[in-house]
Amino acid sequence: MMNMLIVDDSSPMRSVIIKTIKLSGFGDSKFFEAPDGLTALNILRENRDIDIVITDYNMPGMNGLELLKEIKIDSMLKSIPVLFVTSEGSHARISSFMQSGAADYLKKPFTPETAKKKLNHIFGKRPYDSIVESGTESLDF
Amino acid sequence: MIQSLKAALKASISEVLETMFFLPVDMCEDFRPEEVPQDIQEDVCGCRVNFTGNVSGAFLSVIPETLLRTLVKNFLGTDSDAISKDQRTGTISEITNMIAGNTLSRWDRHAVYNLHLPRIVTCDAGIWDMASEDIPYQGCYVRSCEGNMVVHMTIGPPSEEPAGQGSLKRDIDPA
Repeated sequence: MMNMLIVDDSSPMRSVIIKTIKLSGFGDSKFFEAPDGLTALNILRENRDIDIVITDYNMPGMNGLELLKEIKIDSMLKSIPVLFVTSEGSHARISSFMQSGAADYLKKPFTPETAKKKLNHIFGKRPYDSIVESGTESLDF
Repeated sequence: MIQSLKAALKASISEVLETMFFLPVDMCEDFRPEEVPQDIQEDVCGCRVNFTGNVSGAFLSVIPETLLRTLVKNFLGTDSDAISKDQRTGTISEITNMIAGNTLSRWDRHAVYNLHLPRIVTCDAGIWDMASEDIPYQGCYVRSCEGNMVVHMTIGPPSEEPAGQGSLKRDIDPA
């Protein structure tokens, strides 16, 4: 069972992400929810068994990138993988995620199949196809 | 530029509505705001997403309440008729945000821009003011079996302020 923290300022979007993850083969996971980066940090510091942070980028207050940077400078949190779920697909934005230490990104709109591949990749469950799938693009760094 | 932008907008609308809202759509040809069908002028919900950077502008989605309820149900996977305001505004915000990000990245992956937070807008007669004479705009009138909707876009030069500020004064609350 995985413990997953879903960070998004949109309550409906958090529900959809959780529903999609459950359909992706992680139905027995426990889900924590936060509407912004600051709340997410508090949850992470109170619950040391979170396995992954799945976060939006564009949120009021602390955005997803600022949250990622806070996680990476915290010795107790920095090993937690961070998956971005974003509608912004510009090279500059995605580069900023990956260069700051994100584990991967999931571009909206996405399907349960795409989410499953991303999560399986992060948790090392099977080889990863990073190219030629809906909503997913490869980047060279 | 305008043609490639319009192609990106159409492709994005289809991808977003079909992938996450399970709504097949047809695109109508060019239209002017004054030509918007009557059913998209009454009892509608609107959402605006501004963007700034190498290019600036805004996306505006206008969706009749009846169609929006269907989209909420499809998005959340619920059959309940008890749709809350939070679910309605959250859903139209996600639709507009996804279409905006998808369109801009399809159009130019190397463009540098910032999407602002979605804002719910009041849908009085002035909602189309963002299409001023000096700001190029593109619009798509979208037909579906569940109803019709409009996605409207303005685009301008690089700026720290979004182009087409006309309807900002009507913003009522952040979604």
